Amino acid sequence: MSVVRERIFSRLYRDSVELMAIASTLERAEGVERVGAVMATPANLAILQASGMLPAGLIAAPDDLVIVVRAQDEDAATVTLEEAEQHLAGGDVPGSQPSGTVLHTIADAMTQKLPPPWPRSPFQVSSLPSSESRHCGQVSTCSASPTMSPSKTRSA
Amino acid sequence: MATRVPPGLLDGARSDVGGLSWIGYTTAHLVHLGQTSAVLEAGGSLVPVTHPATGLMPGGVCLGTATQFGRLRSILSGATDSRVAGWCGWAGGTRVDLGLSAAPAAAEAVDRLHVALALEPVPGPTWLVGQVRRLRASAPDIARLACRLDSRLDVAVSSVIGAGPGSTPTGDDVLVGVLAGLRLSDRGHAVRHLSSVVVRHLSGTTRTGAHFLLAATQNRFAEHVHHAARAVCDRASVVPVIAQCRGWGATSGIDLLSGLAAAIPNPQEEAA
Repeated sequence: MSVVRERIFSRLYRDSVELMAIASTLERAEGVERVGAVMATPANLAILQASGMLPAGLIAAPDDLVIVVRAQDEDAATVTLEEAEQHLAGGDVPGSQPSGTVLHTIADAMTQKLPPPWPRSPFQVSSLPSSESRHCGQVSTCSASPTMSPSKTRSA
Repeated sequence: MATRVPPGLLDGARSDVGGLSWIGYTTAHLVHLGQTSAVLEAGGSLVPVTHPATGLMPGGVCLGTATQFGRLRSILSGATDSRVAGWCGWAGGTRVDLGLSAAPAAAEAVDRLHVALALEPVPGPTWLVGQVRRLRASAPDIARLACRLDSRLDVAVSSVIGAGPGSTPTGDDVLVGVLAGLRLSDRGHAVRHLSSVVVRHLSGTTRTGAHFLLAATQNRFAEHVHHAARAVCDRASVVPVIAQCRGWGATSGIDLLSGLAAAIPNPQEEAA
């Protein structure tokens, strides 16, 4: 008989890549069936319920992060939740990285490898299309895509 | 004691013309510190402070260089207090209007985008993958109901808002994408209908999700949404845009692009 246990982290925001990496890593542990790391919005609580992962009596707000573990026994659930808490506390986070490194994918986070350079499209815009922008009293001209000019810059 | 941030970190920064000017705010609170963004709270509003590669976000400030962001992140990560001070007196640097304007879609680009998105894998724990797919698949219905001013839009929106992984859940990203697509295709009546419904349901999501959704209803979209929009106008942009979207959060970029694509009518079908 599976057990479902949870831990709530009040008003905690974390990168989704990091949360997915934590959940995917913990799900591989022996005795663990499923791990969820989601914000406790009404819609997500409904999803947890539909997935057989809603702990009885769970009370949480949309800005609370809830880690839910469905495991084969109480020990596995407890150990997994403690590991999740350690990851979130910044100890051994799957998504941890050397200073200055930016992780862009779950795979990056899980393997802690350096990601490829941030992909930049040839039409990268830094502020925008309209005719000019002003910064610190100087006027500079911005380039725009010839096909589309969705944003505009105003001077402060 | 509040952490002091050197004013020099804001040299070359850009800010949302629809956001705070920051003039007069002496203290902000750190809500979240990520790898490419720091979310502050000032004057009752969220202020996403971003790495230049991430781009400017609604209500936010985008720092001028990666070095500046790295320094800010280093300062904030060592803080013992969530209060951040020292940015008072900043006049806002370059103010950017994040509004989307209507733009003609290219039939080939739209077709190619739909095919590519259908093949796009969903990362994450298996039990969540199906949910993310369901939420993305709801986008065409939401766009259609918005265009028809259908009252059933209320139920459709309530079933996706706040749903899915991330602090800006998948459903919210899809809705932002749909709003962007409706703006691009110049369907103001649908934008107004969807916006009015979304605003009624903001309490069903996280604070950051609500922040970006509310901004979208006010025609303020993050710069990465502007970049994604190129995919429906230029066939050659589809592949690089999808590659770029894969890097926005675990699923956020593709979620948003799915919503955007679903709200763009295919020019060929419209002509027929």
